Amino acid sequence: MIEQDELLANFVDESLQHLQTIEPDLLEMEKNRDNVDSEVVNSVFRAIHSVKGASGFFGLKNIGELSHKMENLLSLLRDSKISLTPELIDALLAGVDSLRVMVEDVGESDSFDIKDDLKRIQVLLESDDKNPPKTVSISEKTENDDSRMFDFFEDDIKRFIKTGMHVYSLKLSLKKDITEQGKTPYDFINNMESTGQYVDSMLDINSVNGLSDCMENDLTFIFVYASILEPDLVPVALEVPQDRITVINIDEYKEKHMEDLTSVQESNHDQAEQPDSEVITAEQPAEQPVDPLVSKTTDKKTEPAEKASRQIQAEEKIRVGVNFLNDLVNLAGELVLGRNQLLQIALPLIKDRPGLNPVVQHVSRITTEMQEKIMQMRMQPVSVLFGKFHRVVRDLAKKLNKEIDLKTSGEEVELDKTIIEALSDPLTHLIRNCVDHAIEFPEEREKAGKPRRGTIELKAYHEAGQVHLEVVDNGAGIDACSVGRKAVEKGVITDEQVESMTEKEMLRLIFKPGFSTAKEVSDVSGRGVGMDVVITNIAHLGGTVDIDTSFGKGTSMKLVLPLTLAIVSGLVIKAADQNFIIPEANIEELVRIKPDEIESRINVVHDALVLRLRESLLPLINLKEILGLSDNTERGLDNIDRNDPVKVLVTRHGSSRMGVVVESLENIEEIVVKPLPRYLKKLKCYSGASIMGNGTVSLILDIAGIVEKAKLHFTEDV
Amino acid sequence: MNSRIENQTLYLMPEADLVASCIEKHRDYFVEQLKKNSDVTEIILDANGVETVDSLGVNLIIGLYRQAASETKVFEIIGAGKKFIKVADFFRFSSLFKIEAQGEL
Repeated sequence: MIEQDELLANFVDESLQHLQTIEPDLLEMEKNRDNVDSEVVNSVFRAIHSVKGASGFFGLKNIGELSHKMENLLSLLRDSKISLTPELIDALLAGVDSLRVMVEDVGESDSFDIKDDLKRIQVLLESDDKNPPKTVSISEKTENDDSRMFDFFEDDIKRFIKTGMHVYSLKLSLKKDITEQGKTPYDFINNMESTGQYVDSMLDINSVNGLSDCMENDLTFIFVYASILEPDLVPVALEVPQDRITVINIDEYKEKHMEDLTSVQESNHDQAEQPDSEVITAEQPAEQPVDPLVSKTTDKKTEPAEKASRQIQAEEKIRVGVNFLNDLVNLAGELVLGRNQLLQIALPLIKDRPGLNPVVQHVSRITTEMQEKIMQMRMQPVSVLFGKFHRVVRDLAKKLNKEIDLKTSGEEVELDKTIIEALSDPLTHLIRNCVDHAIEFPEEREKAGKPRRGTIELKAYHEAGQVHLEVVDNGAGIDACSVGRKAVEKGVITDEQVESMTEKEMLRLIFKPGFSTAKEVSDVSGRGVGMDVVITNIAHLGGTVDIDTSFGKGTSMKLVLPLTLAIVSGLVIKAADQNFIIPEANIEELVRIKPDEIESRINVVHDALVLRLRESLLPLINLKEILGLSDNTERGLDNIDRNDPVKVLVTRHGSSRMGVVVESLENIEEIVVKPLPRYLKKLKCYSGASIMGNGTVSLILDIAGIVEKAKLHFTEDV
Repeated sequence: MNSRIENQTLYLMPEADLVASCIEKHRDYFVEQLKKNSDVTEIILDANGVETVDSLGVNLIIGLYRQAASETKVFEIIGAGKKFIKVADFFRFSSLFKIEAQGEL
C-alpha cells in the first residue's frame, strides 16, 4: 500500500512537471502560428502522452480520457492535418488547466467534469479545415510509363528532409502480400506506422467489377511511406519482398527549395513563396530500387546548440525533495552557528597553540563554502515565477479586449525558493492590475498617439546585494491628486491630511486597505483588497515596494527583496548594553558626529530629531528610546550623550532613509536567522533572532517596523 | 445478417466481422438482397456489427461499391468502428464513397 502511495505521489509530481512545460510551449506555438516549430509540437505531444500513459497504469479514467483526446488533436497538428487556430490553442490550454486540477487532486479526478473539455476538442477534431496546409504532389513513373500522383503536405516533405527520412512507395497485393502472409490489413497498417509515417495511398479497384468477381480477383494497392529506416531494412520491417519497394527521390524538391528549407532550419521564417501545389517527377528504375540516398549527413542539419545544451543540462539534474533541502538548510545554519562559537572560543587560544589557527581557518572556510552551496540549492531562477504570467496576461487581455505584450528580462536572477513562492500572489496582483487598470483599450491608446498594443515589462536584477523586481507598463499612469481625492472620499484620510501630503505620499495611498480608484469592481480587480496585501506580503519578506509614475505615460512598481531569508550578513550594534543586529542590506553608511558638531548637525524640527547630512535632513531616532530601553524619561536631544561622539547608522527602507543612533558598533557577522517565537511576533521592531558566537541570543531589527513605531513622516529633501 | 428498406434505401447490416471465414456467406447475402430490392436508389452498409475487416473484407466492400456503381446506386458505409476507419483511411475509401464513424467517445 505504501509502495502504491509512493508511486502515485511520483506520478503526481512528474505529471505536474510535464504540465508545467506545456503551457509556455502552447503560447509559443500561438505566437508563431504561421511557422510552428515541429519540435515544440512534439514536445507538447510527448508531455501529454506521458501523462496519459502513466494515468492508465493507475486506472485514472478521466485524466486518461482527456489526455487521449488532446493527444489526438496534437497528432493531427503534428501531421499537418489540421491548422493551428486560436480555438485550438484555447482548447489545449483549457485541457491543460483541467488536467492540472485533476492531477493535483488525483484521488477525486474521476469525479471531475471533463465533458466541456472533451466537447471542445471533439468539435476541433471534426471541424472542416478552412485553411488546408499546402500540398506537393509527387508523381511516380512506372515501368509501363504510367504515372501516379501522390500528395505530400509541404510541411511533411520539409520535415522528412530535415530529419533525414527516406520516402518509399510500396506496391502490394491484398491477397498475396497480406492475407496469404497470415496478416490483416489492420495488422499491416499498425506495423507500418510503428516504423514510419503513412503519406498517401491508392487502391487499384479496376480488377474488381462487382460482387460476382470480388472474391476471385486480387486488389493492388500502392502506398507512400516515410521512414528513417534504410532501404535494405524496410522489407524486413514490413515483411514484404524487396521488389515491392521503390525509393522516391525527393532530391529535386530539396534542390528547388533549399533556401526555404535552410530558413526553416535556422529561424522558422518562411521566405520563398510556394505555389499551392507543384509536381515533382520521381523516376522509378525498371528493376532495382534506387540506391540509398546520398549520405544523410550532407543534408541532415545539426541540432541547434541551444537544444543540445538544454539536453545536456537535463541529464545533469537530479530531483531532491523540498523537505530534504529544508533539513539541509537548517543543518547549514547550525553549522554556521557552531563555527561562529568555535571562532570565538579558539581565537584567544591561537597564540599559544601554533597549529590551531590553520585548522580553525580551514573549518571556517569549509563551513562558509558548504553554507553557500546549500543555500544555492534552494535558489531558483525567477523564470519559475515569470513563466506563468504570459498566460495570465494573455487570458486577461483577451477577456478585456485589450492588446498587451508581456516582456520579461532577468529570468536567470535567482531567489530563495521561499521568497519565490511568497512572491507569486503579490506579483500576480500587480500584473492583473496593470492589465485591468493601467493599459488602456487599443482605441484609446491610438487616440493618445500611443501604439495600439500596450506593453508590460517584468524585470529582475541584482543590485547592492538585493534583488530588484520591476513591473513597468506604458499605460495611463496614476494621477496622484486623483488618488488623494479618492482617499478622502473613501474616508481613508481627511482633507487636512491630504493637503500636507507630497505627490509620493498620495501615490502610496493606493496601498491602504479598501482603497481603489477603479470605476467599477470587476472579477479581475477593483475591490481594493489587493494592493495592501501586496505591500504586507512583501514587507513580511523583508522587502519594500515603491511606485514611480508619469500620468499618461506609464507606471513602474519596484520591489526590492533580500536574496534569502535564511542567512544574512548583519552588523552587530549595541543599544542600552544589549546586542542587536541590523541586516547589512539596510545600512547605507555610518556617520560619526563629534561632540562639538552635535548642536549644529542635530536639530529638532516639528518635535522630531533630524540630522543634517550633506544636503539632506534625515529623520533621526534614538534606538534605545524606540525600543523602550531608555532608563530616563528624557527624550529627543536631551537623551543624547554630548560628551562622546554620536554614532549614527544611516539606514534605508525602500526609498526612505533615516538615521539610527546607536551606542556602539561591534562587528559584521553571518547571521543565521531564526524566526521569532509566537509570543514575540507582534513586536514589529524585530524580524527574527540569532544565536551569537558566545551563545547569547540577539534580536534582528526590522527597519520597517522601527519606522512605523517612530511614526516617521518622510518629506521631500530640503 | 440483416437488412431493411427505408425510403428507397437498402440497409445491409452484417452482424459478424468481414473476414475470410464468413465472407462468402456475406457476399451471397448481399447479392440476394440487391436482387430482391433492385429498385432502391441507395445502398448503405451499416457496419455497427463489424469490428474486423480483413483483405477479403476489403475485396467485398469494393465489390459492393462497384456493384452499386454499376447499377447507378449511391453507396455509403455508416457505423464504422475505429479499426474499420483505420483500414478505410489507409485505402482511401472516402475518395470512393462516404464513410461515417460510429458515435464518438
